[in-house]
Formats: sequence, C-alpha cells, structure tokens
Amino acid sequence: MIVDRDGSHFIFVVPWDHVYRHYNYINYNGKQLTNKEYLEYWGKWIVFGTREELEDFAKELDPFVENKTIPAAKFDRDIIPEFHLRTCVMCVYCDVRQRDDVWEILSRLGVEDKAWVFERETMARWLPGGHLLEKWIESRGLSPEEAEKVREGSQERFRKMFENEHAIFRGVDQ
Amino acid sequence: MNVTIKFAGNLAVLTNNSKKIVYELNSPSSLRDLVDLVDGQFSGFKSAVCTETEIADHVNVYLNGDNVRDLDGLGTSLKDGDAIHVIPAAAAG
Repeated sequence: MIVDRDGSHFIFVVPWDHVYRHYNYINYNGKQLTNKEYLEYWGKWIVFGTREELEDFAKELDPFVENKTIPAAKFDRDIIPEFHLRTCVMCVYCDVRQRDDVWEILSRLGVEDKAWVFERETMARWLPGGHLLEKWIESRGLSPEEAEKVREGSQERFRKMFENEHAIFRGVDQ
Repeated sequence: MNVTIKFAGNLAVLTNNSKKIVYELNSPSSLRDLVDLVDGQFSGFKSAVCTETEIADHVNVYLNGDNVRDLDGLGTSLKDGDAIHVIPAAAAG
C-alpha cells in the first residue's frame, strides 16, 4: 500500500501487513535481519524521476510489495534543493541476496539505470564527516557549536541503534 | 569496444547536458581511461568527479549496478557493452 503521511518528506510503498499487522519487511526469506545483518546485506536500487513519474511507478510496484517479492520502496515528495539533484529519487529496498530478482522486476517495468546502494553506505554519509551530514549542516548555516551538537547527536543515534548487533533491526524513523 | 556512460541529476551539467554518451575504447581499458576520454571532450569533468587518485566523495560511479568503490575504483576494468552510471552521492541518501 502507498503511505503518504503528513510531515514526512517521503512517500512509502510498504505491505499492508507492515502497517496493520507489525510485519517487518526488513527480512530475507522470511527471517528478520539482525542489526549486523542489516548493515551487511540491506540496500536499495535507486530510481530517478519526477514526483509524478515516481508516483505512477509506485502504483506499479505496489502489487509486488503486497505479494512480498519486493520488500518496500520510498520516494521523495519533492526535490531536495540542498542536494542539487534536480530530480526526485526512489529507493527500492531489498536484501543484496535477492537484488537480482528485484532488479529483474524493475527492469521489466522499464527501469534502465542500475545503481545499487548498501544502507551502510548511506549511514556512513550521515555520520560526522560524511558528505550528506556535512552538506546538511552547511545548508542550515549552523554555528560551529550547533554543528558539533548535530554531529554528536548523529553519532550517538547510530551507536544506540546498532549497539546490540544480534538484536532484530527495527528500522529508522523517517 | 563500446561503453555507455550516463550522468544523473546535476552532473549532466559537466557534459553540456548530455545524459548518455557511448564511447569507443581500446581493449583493455579501465574506468580511468574512460574518465580521461570524457575529460578530453568535456574539460573539467575529471577534476569535478575525481580526486587525484580516486572517485570524489560527492559522486558515486556504478559499473553495471555496482559501486566501483567496491570493485577497483578508477582501476576497474571495462569490457564491451558495459554501462557506467555517474550519480550524485546525495541520491543514495
């Protein structure tokens, strides 16, 4: 189902079970991933388009998400001007061990440009010194003290989230 | 051999808004050779997407879907029919 919540920058495509029955789509062959496995295996295919194109594509993906051949997807509600991308982005999530199957579906639906990103790469970019966090800090015009607080907060959130590598990964609030 | 290179988002500015170019390369060739070839046609391309030795942090380069940082970086070997995608790293956020 397509979840379009007020206050979120992203529009999500997730299984109905995920929203209403506590199903965790972050799994591989039905087994939920631990924090360690999440960092090792979880990632996404990147799809570019206008919001309208991605909205249409989300509708095409929805049946595959409901039947769980594709775990989930999310896309930008609007272009993020700070990142100078000039386009919206959709992330189609899955475990790297199923990425070829998911790519085959995306390819059948007309996606041509192939770019796979591990979640660990994205997280590294939002840690202190990471390109995205530093760009975000720069765009907000924060003072050095405020910027340092943001960096410390980011580092602490990451540490807490992954401190128990054997715990089931519970997702990131977005 | 022919290799296709595509540029996403604002990176197409570096190639006068060409989003897809097919280059003919000698075999064997590496990603570094391809970058040099693009830079020969669009001056400033290399310095915009590379440091002295590697791909710049604000850019991700994919060979047939895989980040070349997980392969051999600029030394990654290319073969006929390969597809290279150059995307702003922010797109993966």
